[in-house]
Amino acid sequence: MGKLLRFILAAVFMLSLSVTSFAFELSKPLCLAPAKPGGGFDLTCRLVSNSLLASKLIDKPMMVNFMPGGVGAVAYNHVIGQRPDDAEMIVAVSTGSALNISQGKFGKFTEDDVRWLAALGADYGAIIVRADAKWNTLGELIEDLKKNPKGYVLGSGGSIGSQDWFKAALIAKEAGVNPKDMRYVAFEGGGEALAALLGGHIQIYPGDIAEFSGQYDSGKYKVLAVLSEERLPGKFSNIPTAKEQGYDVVWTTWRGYYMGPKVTDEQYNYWVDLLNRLVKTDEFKKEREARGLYPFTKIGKEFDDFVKKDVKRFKELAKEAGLIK
Amino acid sequence: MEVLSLLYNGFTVALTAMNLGLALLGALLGTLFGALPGLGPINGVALLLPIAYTIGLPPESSLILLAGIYYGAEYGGRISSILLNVPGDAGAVFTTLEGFPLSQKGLGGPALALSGLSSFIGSTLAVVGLTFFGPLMSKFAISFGPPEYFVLMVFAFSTITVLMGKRPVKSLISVVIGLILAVVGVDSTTGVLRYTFNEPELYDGFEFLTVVVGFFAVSEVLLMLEHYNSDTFHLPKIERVYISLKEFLMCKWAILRSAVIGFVIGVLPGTGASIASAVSYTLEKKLSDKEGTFGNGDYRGLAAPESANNASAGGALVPMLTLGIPGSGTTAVLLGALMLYNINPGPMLFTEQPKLVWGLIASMYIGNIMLLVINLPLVKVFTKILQIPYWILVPSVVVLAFVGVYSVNLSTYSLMIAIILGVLGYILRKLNYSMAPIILGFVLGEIMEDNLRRALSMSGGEFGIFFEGRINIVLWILVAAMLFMPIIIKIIKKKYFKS
Amino acid sequence: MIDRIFALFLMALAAFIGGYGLTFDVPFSYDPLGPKAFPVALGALLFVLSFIVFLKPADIKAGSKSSILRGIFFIGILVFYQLSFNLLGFLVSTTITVYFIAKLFKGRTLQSIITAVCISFSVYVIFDVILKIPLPLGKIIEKMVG
Repeated sequence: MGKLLRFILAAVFMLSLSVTSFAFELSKPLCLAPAKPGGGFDLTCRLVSNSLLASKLIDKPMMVNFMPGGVGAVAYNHVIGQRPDDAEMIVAVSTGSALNISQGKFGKFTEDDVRWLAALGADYGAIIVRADAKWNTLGELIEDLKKNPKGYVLGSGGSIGSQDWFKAALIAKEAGVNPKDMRYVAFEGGGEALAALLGGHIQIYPGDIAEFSGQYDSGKYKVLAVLSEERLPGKFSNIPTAKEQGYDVVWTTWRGYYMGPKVTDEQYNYWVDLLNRLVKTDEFKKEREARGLYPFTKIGKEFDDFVKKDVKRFKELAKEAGLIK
Repeated sequence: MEVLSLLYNGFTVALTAMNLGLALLGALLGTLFGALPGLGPINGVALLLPIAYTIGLPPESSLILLAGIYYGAEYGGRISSILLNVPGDAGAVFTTLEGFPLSQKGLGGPALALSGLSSFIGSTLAVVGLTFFGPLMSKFAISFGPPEYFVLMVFAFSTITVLMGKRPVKSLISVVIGLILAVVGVDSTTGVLRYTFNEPELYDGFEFLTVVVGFFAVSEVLLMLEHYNSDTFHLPKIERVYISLKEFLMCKWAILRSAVIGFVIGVLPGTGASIASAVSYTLEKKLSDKEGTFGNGDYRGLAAPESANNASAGGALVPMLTLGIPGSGTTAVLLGALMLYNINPGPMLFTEQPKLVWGLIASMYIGNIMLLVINLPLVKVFTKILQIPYWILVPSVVVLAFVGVYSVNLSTYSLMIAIILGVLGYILRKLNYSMAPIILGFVLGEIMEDNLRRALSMSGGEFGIFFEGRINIVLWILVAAMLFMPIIIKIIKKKYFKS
Repeated sequence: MIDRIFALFLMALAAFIGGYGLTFDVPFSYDPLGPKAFPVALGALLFVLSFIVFLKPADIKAGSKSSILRGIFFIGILVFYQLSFNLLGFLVSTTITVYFIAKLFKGRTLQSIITAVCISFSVYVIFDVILKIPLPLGKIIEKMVG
């Protein structure tokens, strides 16, 4: 019995040695969603796991695990502290995470402590009001805000310092209003904010356009501007951007992935290559559309630079708004 | 009728094989949980919630299962109350008053049959109420903004304080403890960490299930250890398990009256089955007890609380689905279930999640019929459950509860918290602090604080916003009425006894 | 007496909650109330309410000595369960825990052993194998397997 066990252990040991000597292959790929199921991070993970399998780029299904806590902070600390070299695992991340990193909400770790892998899709900010609101363009709204900064209540689904709040703050800035002087109400998620908009408790809702898509058809709201660089394709193509209305406000809610800091270059490049092939497949494009995301692809070094630049920009914005010292 | 077509769509959801199966499973498990002494609907829902969630049931199916357990337990609760004089939870206490004397007279069977029928009628009338009243309420609920929500919370807590438990001070302390537990974690407005002691596991606050398992399951076992003396209970014999038409007709007004009372009380935030059954029993006694038969086994006194506590279960879903405010301890757990799925109940739920809402309502019609069928002929089978020895029952409950808590975050940290809260819960219960207000406080705490702060953000710090508008004024009047109610009741009682 | 002692404990807790709540500072004041007002108010309210109980406690007697000892034993089992859950793994740790709880509720030794083995295996199979909710195998077993 003892001999047999020792033999098996030895065999397992040899086997594991021989595996590592080969080029890197995925055996148990995993996407970690740093939230509860059903939210945006879940969606981000499903995007890559479903399309990788559907396009047959991997033969084993990619698992999706959840680690809620601190809007991604728990997972961030876990990956850096406990599994820095786990090359099978990618972690979902978004603009919101970058914002939190920039405001020091991820503990002692910074944007330099993980390996940024890729962004595969994005949603864009939108300024939404009730259908019977007196404004028809972003300009009219901003003129009114200028005249009476405290007369209107902005509200959305994020706390102060969150993405939605920043969209509101950027609009306020355009109107020459100090973000500190605007009336902002933080709700629990976009749905609650929309209900409050409908009930007349708030007047302006800076949300995300694709997320709002389901409500758009109800005819109860109107969108004054989308916060993208250019007009969006599809059913929102008739909505003007803030830019073309003369206000330089762009807000991209990108969705991407990072890996542990001790993942080797070889392993990192394996993923870069895999995702580069993935984004060209029709399965991926279909999946991205089904998840309500617009094309936004940055992979490898390009993404790494992009995140670091974004975090830097957010830091400046946060300082300006008095969120950090 | 728009409602009827929506309800029809609901039936297409509820009648899929999986959802029918889940409704039946929920009804059976609920009856089981209700029948087991010491386990009520809250425990049942809390035990099944993590399982339903982790195996990836879609939200409507999960809610159909959990709601099945909820109203199933209201049926099952009567078995141990009638046969053993052991109420499964606070709502079943009034069932023992007439039920147990009946079973001692050898009428346990008819008592079970009558209570089953009353439960069915009470429950079904409440679902009809929910069908028509829910959508109306949800349209009205749009006009509830942050200030209205805050004042509504004040009303809910004054109701809980006045009506629950023997000493208002202690009920209020329970509420405050629940509210304090809700504060722990990241502040949702500013992102400041509160009472987290640098522990990342606490950033999201206490997990709902951990709190429920601690306060209910763990402390329940500690209480059992005190009262427990023998392996099993000694069951009285049951002969016939049906009731004659004449006996049933005698109770028809008691059942109908109590159904209405139960529904209305269920709709009020914070109050639940215990208050509904107390009020209906007391009223029935005042109205019908001309020969002094109440207390010695009167059918009407049994039918009234049974009808009322089932009706309140349906009523409690109205504020939960339309305002996101649970009407009872158990709906607080159901609300927690929706939040796990990232669904925020509120005025938009009826329009945004018609599949969920109407599927649930339709499944409640079906579930009640199932329960009636289960409960009339099969009631003898369920009485057997009472014979499961404690040395099997208790460890099973403990293991399931722990696995449930563990599976939400796959961490043992919350197990330790559940144990600590269990000890605290035991002490509180020993000292006559009630548990339901804690759970309500815990669930409503965030809603209350957030809306307080939202309202003040809207007004720029002016507290006057809480007194503007018709809804707020009405709510404040209700709060005042509730707070003065004990005094009014005292005055009425004095007059009543004098005459 | 117990009621009064516990009221004192609640007052201490309230003081701590209120005091600690005062330290919740934010570098900016975007909402008029801020994060500290609500918890501090709750602490103050709890303090006042438990002081009322302290002044007028109810006469509640402690449980019998034996039932308290059994309660402490039960909590001890649960703490063991929590500590051993990851270390020994679900199967081993549950078997031991269930055995002691069953004994506590007067199961005979053989009955308790059978209950323990049945519950731990069936729950493991239902959750880990059928429902795919991973339960820990145990650090010790994992090390042995490699």
